Amino acid sequence: MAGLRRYLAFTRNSFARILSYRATVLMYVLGGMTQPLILFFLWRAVFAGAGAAEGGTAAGGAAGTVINGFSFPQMVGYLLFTVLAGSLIYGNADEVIANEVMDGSIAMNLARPLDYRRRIFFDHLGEVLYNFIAIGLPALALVFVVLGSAGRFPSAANLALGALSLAMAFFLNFYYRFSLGLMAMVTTNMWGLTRLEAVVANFLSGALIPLAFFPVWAREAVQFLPYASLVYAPAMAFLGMLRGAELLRLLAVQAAWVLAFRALSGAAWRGLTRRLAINGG
Amino acid sequence: MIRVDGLCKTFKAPKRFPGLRGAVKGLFSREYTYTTAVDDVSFRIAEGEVVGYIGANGAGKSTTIKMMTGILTPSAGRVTVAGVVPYENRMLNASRIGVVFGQRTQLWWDLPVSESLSLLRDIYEVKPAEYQERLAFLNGVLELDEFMMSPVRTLSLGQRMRADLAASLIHRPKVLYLDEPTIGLDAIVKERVRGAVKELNRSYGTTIVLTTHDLADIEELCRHIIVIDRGRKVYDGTLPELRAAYGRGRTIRAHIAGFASFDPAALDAALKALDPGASARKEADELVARFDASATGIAKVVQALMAACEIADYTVEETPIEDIVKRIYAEARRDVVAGDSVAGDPAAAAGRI
Repeated sequence: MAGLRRYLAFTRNSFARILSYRATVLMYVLGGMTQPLILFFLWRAVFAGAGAAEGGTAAGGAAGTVINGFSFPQMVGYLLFTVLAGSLIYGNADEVIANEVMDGSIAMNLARPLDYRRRIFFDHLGEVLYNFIAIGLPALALVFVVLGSAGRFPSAANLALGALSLAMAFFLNFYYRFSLGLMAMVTTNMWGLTRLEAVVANFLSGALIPLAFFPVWAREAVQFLPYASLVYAPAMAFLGMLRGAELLRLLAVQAAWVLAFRALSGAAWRGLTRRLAINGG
Repeated sequence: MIRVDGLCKTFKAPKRFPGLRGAVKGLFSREYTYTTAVDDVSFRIAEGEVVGYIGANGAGKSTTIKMMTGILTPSAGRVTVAGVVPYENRMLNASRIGVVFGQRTQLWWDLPVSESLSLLRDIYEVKPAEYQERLAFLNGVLELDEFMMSPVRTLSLGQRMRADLAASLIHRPKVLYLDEPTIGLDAIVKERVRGAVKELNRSYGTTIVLTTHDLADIEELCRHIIVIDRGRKVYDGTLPELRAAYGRGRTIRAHIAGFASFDPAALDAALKALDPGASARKEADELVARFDASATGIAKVVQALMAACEIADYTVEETPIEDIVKRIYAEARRDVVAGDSVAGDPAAAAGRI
């Protein structure tokens, strides 16, 4: 593609920028590990308790217990997978955009020969790439070890579907964040909005609890929200927990959200430029 | 190079009402206030010119610049820059222009200057050989070496401005817009920035549009001056013409022998015979003569001075450009009050001047 080089420079750049803030990155990695670690101990206790209730010994009960379709190794695999997915859907593109909208520097972008969304995308890509290398790959290796040692190594088909689903999650997350960032046009309390969004997304994406643990009616509803497409869908595809029509439906919903948010982010950007062009920077 | 015809820009904003009740009312109101920032402005800028675009705060300078750079779309009228309509063909126009806003950096805050520049090299797709050559040139003019490896956030204002100038020129734009490039800089750095702008214009033939409140910038850099006030063009011409039209007043300051006992009354009368508006009086330790150079020659005034007293040394001053610009604003505003026939037609207002 012509002109790709000028955008790749942004990727290289944001990668380098993160490297120059190593302490921040380390804190982020440690902070990101907290939730899965807590959840690991929580689930271990839950599985042990359930095993004991079923009549097994408290210590060994965990291995054979299955809750809502999850065995304990699968639950650990799911947790590690949320870390992997989290590294790919990380990014503060929304904050970057919101700041540019609020301080007006977004107008300066119109004086450069660049497509704004593409520029932000390649900038975002650099951060995600860093995260994937620093956090995602180690998590992936651990997933393989945990699932492999439990004899539940994903099949080639699951690996392929998981990768496809992860890629869709990555694009959906970008378009979603891009649209969210442009919300700064209509609200000045972006900080509040992004905090709220983070909590909601954490819960509804399945990063906190697999959606399989939700009541049936809630799961049916939440599955169709874009958040489920960010973590839950790729995890289920990868772990092989869903099959056939159910899995296809999840992937189709994902693809639909990617296209919808792609269109929405484009429309929001056109709206913004029209507003800039009419009302000034 | 730049053609601006009948350019207008009206901003529309929801009408605001005072107080808490007003704030609530404003939420539901469909009323808007319209502000005209630029009102029927036309001008031409030739290739290679350095143009001073002057106006008070809120006069519409930045709005005009934004329309010329493609950031804003005019409400009416038309702009073409090197044959391209900026707001219709934004990408093409953007690849040919450079913009520096004195109050805002276009560099990447966290990156060393060298990284920002190489990023811009990729964005504008500058060939490596050309990049090296331009960098060497810019380094010579702006002395970038001393802070080339420093992150932008650690630069002083003067260094940042030099880096910003370099950043706006790395793709060798046809047109360079400088919006208050010397704001907040000390005298030495100002001098260096002006020198760099001059050098660029000379070596690359870059057309430069400069807005500034520091009229020394204008005096040193620009031949062509456009003055805008309250969205309307009030003057468009060369600096010498401006001086000829407004700057006819001269002041001679002389140190004379026997200053303490000298009585300027006779001299004052002699000058008034040459030019009724002229005057001579003592100010501090100087004898000061003011007169209109178009009414009488400098030589005649100096002769009268020499006949009246013994001059140790003297200086002749032109009207400072600040005073000229103040007079242009004052006259433009008086015209608006006096009769709309003139104010309604900026070209006529400019013609009168």
